[in-house]
Amino acid sequence: MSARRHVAVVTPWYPDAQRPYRGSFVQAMVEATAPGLDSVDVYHLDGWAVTREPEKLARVRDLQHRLLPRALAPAPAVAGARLYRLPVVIERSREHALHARRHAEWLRVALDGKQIEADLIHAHVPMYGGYAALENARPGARVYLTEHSSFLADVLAQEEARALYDEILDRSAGLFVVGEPLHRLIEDVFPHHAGKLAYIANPIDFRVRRPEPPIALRRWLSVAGLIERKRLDHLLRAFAECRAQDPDLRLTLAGEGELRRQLLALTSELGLDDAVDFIGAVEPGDIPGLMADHDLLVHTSRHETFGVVVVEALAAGTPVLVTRSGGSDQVLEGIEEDAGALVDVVDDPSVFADAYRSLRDRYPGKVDLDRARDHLRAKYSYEAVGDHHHRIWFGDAS
Amino acid sequence: MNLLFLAPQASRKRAVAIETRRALDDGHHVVLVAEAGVNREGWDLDPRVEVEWLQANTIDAAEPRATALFARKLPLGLLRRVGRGPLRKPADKAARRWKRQVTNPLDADRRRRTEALRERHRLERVQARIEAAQPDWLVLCESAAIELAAEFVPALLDAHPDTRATYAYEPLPGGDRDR
Repeated sequence: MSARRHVAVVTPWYPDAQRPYRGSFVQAMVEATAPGLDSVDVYHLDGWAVTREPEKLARVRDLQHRLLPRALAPAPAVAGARLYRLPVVIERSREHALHARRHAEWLRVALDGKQIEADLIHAHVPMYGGYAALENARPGARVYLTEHSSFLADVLAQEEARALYDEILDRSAGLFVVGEPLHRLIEDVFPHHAGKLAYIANPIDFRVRRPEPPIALRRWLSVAGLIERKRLDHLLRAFAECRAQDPDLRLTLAGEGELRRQLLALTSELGLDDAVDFIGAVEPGDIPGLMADHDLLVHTSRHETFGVVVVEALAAGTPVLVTRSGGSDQVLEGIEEDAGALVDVVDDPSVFADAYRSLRDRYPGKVDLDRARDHLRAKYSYEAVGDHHHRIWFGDAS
Repeated sequence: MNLLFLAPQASRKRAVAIETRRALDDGHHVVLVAEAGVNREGWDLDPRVEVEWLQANTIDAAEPRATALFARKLPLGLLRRVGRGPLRKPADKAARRWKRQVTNPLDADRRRRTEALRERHRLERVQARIEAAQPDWLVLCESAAIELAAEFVPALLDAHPDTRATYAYEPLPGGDRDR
């Protein structure tokens, strides 16, 4: 086999025992692209915040210098990949440029004077994975980047980080984004790099599909972190309004987050204790089955870089009722009516409730889930995304 | 092997629970030295894990009674008492100033002393446990474990260079499929 098909993936996010769902799209990307490659090495650089107190920090850094090269050992990962995990210790700081430098520095320490072997590196999150990859790549290696960060605007608001991001883009072979909001942001800030910017999809599992479409849209499902941006309070109020007319409605909330207590309290306040189920975080592998067990995916997020759960729902054959959060609009472009319904991001829960009633009334006659699913499979299946990566990397499909 | 997991802040409970269970299933002896946390919530440990709860969070630096009385209770109580009617605003302003200039620095100092006491407690307990358990594999489960380890692991490695030190229990096979 040719050595040119050795690929390294450098990422700050990857599922681990603590957070089995964090960066699952990177794991999926590895699984999608591995067929047709000779070998894949995954470097998971996990940021661990440590003290800023200078003397203690110096001792911590000394210890890391001693331990990291000893601790770095490959573990078998998906699709035959080798996984290297290393904690990136970073003194507590909001400076993204400092975080970037630490990612690069600790990867260099872990590699113990060597460079990343692969001639082709695909790094996730340019500021962290990208800079670390560029600083540790062999001369002549091509480094591609994918940006997923929902906090990119904060990164680019910092002068030093913005300058570093500019340098990262300059040195990279190409930058990919998963959704239109990130594309627009990067193009606005770095118009001189617009030629390097393109879309790439996160791969979605289309293998599990419910045997029959839902009969009625009564079992709602939300797969979202319990955080402010997801507007689950808004969802609960809209659900309460709909349930007042149809007591058989049920809502499952999959996900964890800082608002759990407040949302539980709101559920009680709205008299929904018997109708709403908080099931906590769900393993990525369980998502397709969960989608297939419900009648409707609901999503009230204000802003998304990509609509992963929207594609996952339709892949499982479940219709969607989601807000125009950026990523979802793009995913559903051209198949909005077939897939379910899109709702504007407004503060009035009645708008979401009205959209539900409208969808319920035209379901199933005026919804074409098969057409929506086929449309998405051509863009987001593992095969499609794997081929797309291979065309970028090698000029041909796997 | 004889494994010692160190989790002095217990910030990665799920990972610790999974990895200790996996290590036990692989036939290792497992000791966990960890902060208990409030009501030990979130721990889902295998009963075979030998646990030493640090309970450092129950330790607080005491404040001298005279300081509490003359720097907090009397001046702030007096300002509360006189701060009625037309004197409310000036009294509130004086109280805020007093807190900013007197009690806040006292609080910060107390936090520093508390943290120093807790740190010493953790270090003593961990070192005693390591002395007793003689582990040949240290698992530093979180950033606080690295901070604590910085105080004793270099000497430990000098004395026992074969001691394995990693950030997770990830033997072969491991990786991401079983996680």
